[in-house]
Amino acid sequence: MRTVVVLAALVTTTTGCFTGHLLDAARRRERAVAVREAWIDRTSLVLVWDALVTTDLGEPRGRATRAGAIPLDALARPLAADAVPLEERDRAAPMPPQAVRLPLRYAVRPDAACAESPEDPEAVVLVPAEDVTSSALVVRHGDQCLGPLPLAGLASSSIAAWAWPLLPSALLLDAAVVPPLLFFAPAVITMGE
Amino acid sequence: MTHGVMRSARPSWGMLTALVVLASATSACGPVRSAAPLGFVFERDTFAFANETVWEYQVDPATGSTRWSKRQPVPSFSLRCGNMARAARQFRLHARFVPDAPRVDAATYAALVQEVVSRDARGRAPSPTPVVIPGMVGLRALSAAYPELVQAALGGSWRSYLQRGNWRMIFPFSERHQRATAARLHRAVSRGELPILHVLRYPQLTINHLVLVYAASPTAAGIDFVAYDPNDAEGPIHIAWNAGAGQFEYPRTRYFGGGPVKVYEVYDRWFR
Repeated sequence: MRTVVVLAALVTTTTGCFTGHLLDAARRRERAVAVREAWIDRTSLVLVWDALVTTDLGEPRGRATRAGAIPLDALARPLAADAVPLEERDRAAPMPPQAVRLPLRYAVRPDAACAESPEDPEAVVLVPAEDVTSSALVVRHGDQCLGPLPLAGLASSSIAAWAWPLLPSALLLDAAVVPPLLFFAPAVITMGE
Repeated sequence: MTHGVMRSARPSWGMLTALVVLASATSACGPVRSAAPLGFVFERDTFAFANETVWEYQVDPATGSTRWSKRQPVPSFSLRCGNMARAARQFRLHARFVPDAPRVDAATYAALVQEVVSRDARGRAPSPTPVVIPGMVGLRALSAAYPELVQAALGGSWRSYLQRGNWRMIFPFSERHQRATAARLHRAVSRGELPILHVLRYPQLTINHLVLVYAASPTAAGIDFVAYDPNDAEGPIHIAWNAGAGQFEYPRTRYFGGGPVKVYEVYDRWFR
């Protein structure tokens, strides 16, 4: 009887499946808020940046420093934020031996960022926007002007490690309390509605 | 409908069974009609009045955190965001305003408005046989001249509570779903359609709202969607699609502190 009462209480008070809420609560999103270093070698641009870590709903959870490499070929044309071919790098890993550190500069517009500068013929130029996610980087490299590379393209998401051990329990709870949700969810999520 | 409208949406057996029965009992979707540009103009094609919120919100300008308290006196026209977004689209699809024609009496306008809101809200193209509304430039002029009449025709808040697509909110929204939604919305708006979005943060109820999207333009970060917010009769809002993060971001308003939200389209298929 007690089990029935507990299950009935859970059914009437919960808002959706436990598994979904667990994964939503554990989802961490990172977005670049400042570029710290830029390196270039013959094939790629390596960036080191500060990322703001938030929950899925944007509540801040701290900061992190991240690094990643982008092939120079990809930067030959403007990149969409969801098409940045970013290869994550270990922040502590040594830079490629032939990599050269580029100075960081600022410009108000992308075309100004590409203007020749006798002092900094090679540089990474940040074109800031009011909304940091709309800011972009332009790379002055020899006689080339690469990019712009939207900072929004350095975003990432992950599930916090503490969620995985809880996942089996959440699935079991869903199976007991809201089996229809568990039954329909895969179809809705994987095949679309 | 912002905050607290859908507290009744619990994943109970009864509700889910009803959904399954509804899904199996409803006839198949009709063929999708080809769309034609609808040319939505905020100053002409929106309501002159706003959907009033049941709650009074205090948004901290520094942090965006929001506190709320019961509005006193209780607003007479509230919890109708779904009704208004739906009707704004119905007027663009099924009404033709003829400002040069002589005005008619209130009873005739009431009948004309009723005819418009009784027509298909899921259509995409303008009706070949629109309801002709004489003496008015558009919906804004009509609803300014006869607010009570138009509000009465919009129906009760139950239309928002029982919106057919509400079932979707209890299921998770993957990043892939949001990306597909952004792309689909962009295509729809480019074709001149007027998609209606359910905006939410379920199970949080800090926002639970319907808006009508009528324009979109690419930005460095993704897409800027321009929408008619029934809670605001003064001007449109901008919902940002952040393609890098794979998230929609709702602006700060007088009832919401701003930030990431989930969205899905409603009034687009027979089961939503």
